[in-house]
Amino acid sequence: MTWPAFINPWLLTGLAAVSLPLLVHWLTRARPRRIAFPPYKFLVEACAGQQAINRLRTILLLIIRCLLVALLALLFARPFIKPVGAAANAQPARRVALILDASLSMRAVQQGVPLFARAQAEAAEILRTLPAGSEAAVILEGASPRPLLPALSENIPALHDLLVKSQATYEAGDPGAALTLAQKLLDGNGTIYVFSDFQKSNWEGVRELPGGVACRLRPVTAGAIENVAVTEARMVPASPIMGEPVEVICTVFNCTPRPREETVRLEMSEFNQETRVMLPPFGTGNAVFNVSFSHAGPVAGSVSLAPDDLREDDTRYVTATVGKALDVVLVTDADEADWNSSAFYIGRALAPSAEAAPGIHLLRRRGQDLDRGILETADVFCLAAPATLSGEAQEIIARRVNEGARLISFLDGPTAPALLFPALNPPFELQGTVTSESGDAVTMDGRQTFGELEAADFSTVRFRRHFQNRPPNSRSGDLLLAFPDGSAALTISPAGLGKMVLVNLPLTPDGGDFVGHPIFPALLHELLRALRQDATGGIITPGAPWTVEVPTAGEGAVTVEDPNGKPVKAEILSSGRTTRLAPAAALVPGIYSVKQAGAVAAYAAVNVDPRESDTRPMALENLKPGPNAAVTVQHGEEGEVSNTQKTSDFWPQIAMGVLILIAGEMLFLALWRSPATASIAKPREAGS
Amino acid sequence: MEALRSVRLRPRGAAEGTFAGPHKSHFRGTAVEFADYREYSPGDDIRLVDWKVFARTDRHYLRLYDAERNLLTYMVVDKSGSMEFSGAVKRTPAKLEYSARLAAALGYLVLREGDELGLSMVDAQVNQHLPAAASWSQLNRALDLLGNARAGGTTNLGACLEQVFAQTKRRGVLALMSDFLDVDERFWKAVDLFRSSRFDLMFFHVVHPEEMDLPDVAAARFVETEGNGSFNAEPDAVRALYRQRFDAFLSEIKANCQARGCDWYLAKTSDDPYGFLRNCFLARENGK
Repeated sequence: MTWPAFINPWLLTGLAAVSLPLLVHWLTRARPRRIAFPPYKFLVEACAGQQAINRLRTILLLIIRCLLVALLALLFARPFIKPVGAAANAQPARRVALILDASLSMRAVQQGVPLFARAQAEAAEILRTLPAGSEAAVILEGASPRPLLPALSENIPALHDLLVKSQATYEAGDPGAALTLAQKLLDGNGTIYVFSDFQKSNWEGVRELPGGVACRLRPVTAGAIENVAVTEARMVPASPIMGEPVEVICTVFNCTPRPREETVRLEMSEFNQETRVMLPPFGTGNAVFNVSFSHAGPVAGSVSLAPDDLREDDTRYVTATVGKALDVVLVTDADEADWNSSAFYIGRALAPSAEAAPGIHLLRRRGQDLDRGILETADVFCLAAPATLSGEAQEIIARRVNEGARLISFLDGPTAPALLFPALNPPFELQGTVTSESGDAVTMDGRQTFGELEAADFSTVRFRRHFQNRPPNSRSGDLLLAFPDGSAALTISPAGLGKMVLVNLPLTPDGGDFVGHPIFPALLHELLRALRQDATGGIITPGAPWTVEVPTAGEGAVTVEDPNGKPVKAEILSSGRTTRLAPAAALVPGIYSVKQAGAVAAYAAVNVDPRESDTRPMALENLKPGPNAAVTVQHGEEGEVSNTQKTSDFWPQIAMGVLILIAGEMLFLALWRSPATASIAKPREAGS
Repeated sequence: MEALRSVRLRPRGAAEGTFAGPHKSHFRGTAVEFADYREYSPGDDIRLVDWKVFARTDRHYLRLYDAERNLLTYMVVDKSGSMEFSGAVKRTPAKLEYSARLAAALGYLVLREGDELGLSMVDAQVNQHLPAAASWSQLNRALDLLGNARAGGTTNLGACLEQVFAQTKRRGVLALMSDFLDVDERFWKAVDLFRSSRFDLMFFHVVHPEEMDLPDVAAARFVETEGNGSFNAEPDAVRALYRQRFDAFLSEIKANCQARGCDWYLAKTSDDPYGFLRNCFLARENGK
C-alpha cells in the first residue's frame, strides 16, 4: 500500500487555481443585451438541439481545463510514491549527513549523465525516505566544504530543494574537510553518506574515516572515466621578452589504460598551432610550442584537447606579460677593463653584443654609484665581488627580490660575505677559503634545472679555490653544483616572490679554467633562464584565494573581470609602483582580465586543479574506519533502501497526463468546433 | 391618408347592414331591383304583398328585391403583450401601434362610405367592445379606444373571436389585426364559425422585421413577452434555422387562411400602413 507524498507540498496550494478556468469562463462569457422577443418559441425550437450540445461541449472543455490546472499544480508539487504502513512508521527518526562530492571530476559525464546529477538523485532519494522527525545535513565537497544549511535540520523539503538546485564546482575536492564537518554536525550520533567518484588523488589523503558514526560510501561512477587532460601549460621563460624565443610547454595526462595519441592545440593572440603527443597509459607527455612575441604587453591563450568524458580539464589557460627588455644591473667595484676581475668575464658572458643576447640590457655600476632609480627598476641584480653595497642599497635589493626581482651573487673575492643577504635566507654561510693547486671538480645534482647543460660538461672543469660552507640538509634542494668537500658551489633558492642564485666559484683566470671554458657563458644564460621561470610556482585554481600584481599606470581604478566579462570583487592589498590585488575566489576557470582605466594591464589564468584530472578511483577497502565506526560501501541503490521502502517519482506520469490533456483539448477543439450558439445562461422552461 | 382617397372597402359577399347603403345585400327590401317571390308568413310587411299575383292565384306572395344595404365591419385588434415589440436594433412603431393605425385608416374608410363600424380590443379576452355604428362619432370613439390601448397580457384569439361572434348581430366584414403567435385549433374553429355565417374575413398579420430575421446583435438574452422564459443565443448562429422556422409559421397561417377563404395580409411594421392598406384593397378588388 502506497500513498503519494510531495517534494514541494506547499505548491499544492496551486490546486486552488482549478477555479481559474471557471472564473475565466465566467468573466469572459457573453454578456448579451436583454431583448423581449415575441416569437420566442420559434427561437427556442431553432436552438433546441444545439443548446444541449453546446452545454455539453462547454462542460467537457471546462472539465478538461480544470483537470489540466490541477495536474499542473500536482506536477509542480513533484509527487512521489512513499511507502506507508508498519515498515515505514516503525522507523525511528534518524540523523544523517550527506556529503556530495562537488569537485570538478564530478562533472564527468558517463552514459549521458553527469556524475554529480547521479549523486544528487541518490542523495535526494535518501532524503525522501527519511522517517518523520529525522534531521539531515547536506554538504557539498569542494575546495572547502559547504553545508547547504548551517546545521542539521528537520526541514527536509527545504534541504531537498537546495540539493536539487546545487551544482558541481570547478574546484578540487577536500574530502577530509567535508568528513570532519559532517562528523562535527552529527556530534557523534548518526550516519554519514558520501556520494563521490572516490578519486584516488583526493581520497588517498584521507587516512581514516570519522569515528563514532556510521559511514555509507556510495560510489556514483559506472566504470572507468575516459579522461585525457592538459595538466600543465607554462611558458619558458615565464616573463618573456619581445623577440625572445619562448617555449610553451604543455603536459598532457592520459588517464586511461591504453596508450593514446592526442592532438594539442595552442591558441594565443598571434599563434594558432597544433602538435601531436604520444601518451602512455596513465602517463604524461609534453607538447612544446615555439613562439616569439613581437609586441610587449599582457598576452593570454589556451591549450586544448579534443573533448572527452570530463571536458572541463581539456583546456588549460596560459598568460604572460611580454617585456620590452630584461634590465640586468651588474654591480662591482672592479674596473671595466680589469681582466683579473670576475666582473670582466661576467659582463662579456652575459651580453657580448646586442645581437648575441637580444633583450638583455646590461648596466654596470660600482657599489657606491648605485642610485635608487636603478635599484627600483632592475629585473636582475648581478653582484660580483669586489662590491661594496651601502646599507640602503642592500635593503632595497632585498626588498626587490622579495617582491619578485632576481639576484645572482658571485662569491669570489674578499667582499663576498657581504653579498649573501642574510635577509633573503641564503642556504649557506661562508666559512674559510679552500684552495687547491690541482683544482677541484664539481658535481651536479640530478635536477633538470638546466636545459642544455649536463653533468658531463663540468667533468673537465677544475676550480682552484672556493669558500667552504655547509648547507643544511633542509636546503639540499637548493643545491645545483657542489664541491667534493660538500660545500655548495652553485645554489638557486626562492626568496620571497623572487629567486636568488649564489655562485661559489672562482671566476678569474687564476681560479681555474672555468671562465675560459665555453660552459661559462652557457651557465650564466641558463641561470638567467632558470631565474626567470615563474617564481610564484603555484597555479590559480577555482575556489582558492589568489592574488595578482599589475604595474600601476596612472590613477584609474584597477578592476578584475572574469572570463565572461563580469566584474570580480577585488581587494587592493598594496599599491605603489605595482598594485597588488586579492580578487574573490574564482568560480570558473579561464582568463581573468585585470584592467586599469579600461585597458588590460594583465591577465591571470585560472586553471582547474590537475589532481582532478586523475579520475582513477581508490580502493575503498583501504579506507580505515574510525574508532566505533561502521563503514559500508554501497553501490547504486543496494542495501540502504529496500524495495518496499523505495520511493518512486510520480511526476512523469502526471506530466504524461498533462500532455494527454493538452493534446486532448486541442483534438477536442479541432474536431468539435463551437456550434456558435452561446452557452445557456439560465435555462428556463419556455413560457407560452 | 391621401393614399386611401381612391379606395373603397367592398365586401366579397352581400352586405347585411341596418340601413340602406351602397352595398348589395341578401335582404329583400324596398329597393329597386326585383329578386324573387316568397309566400307570405305572419309578421311580414304587408306592403310587400304582390296583389296582382294574389288576384291571379288567390294566394299571398311577397315581392322580394335585392336591397342595397350598408356594410357592417368589425375590427378586432390584438393588444396582447407580444404586440408591444418595436424592435431591438431596428426601431419601428410597435406592432400594436401599427395595428391601431391600420384600424383607424380602415375605420375611416368604412365610415366614409356610410357603413357601420365596430371595434374590439382583445388579448386573452375581449377587453373593450365598441358596437357597430355608422356615425362619425363612432370613429372618434374607435380612435379613443385605439389610442388608449396598452399592450399586455396573454393572448387567446380563439376565445376572443368566439366572444366577438356572439356580440355580432349581422354578418359583415371581420378585420383582425394580430401577430397570430398563439393561434390554435380553437382559433381556427372560431374562424370557421365566422365563415359559416358568411363573414368576409380579413387577417392583417402584423410582424416586425426583426421577428422575421432576428435582431442584428452578436448575442442576446431573449425573453419571452408573454411568459418568463429566457435564454442566451447568438442570432448569427441560429438565424438560418430561425428564419426557416418563422417562414414555416407564416406559411401555415397563410395556408389556413386561404383554405377558409380568408384574406391574409402580411403587414411589416417598417412599411407605411396607409400604402400597405391601399395595396391590400387594390389586390382585393383585383381578386388576388
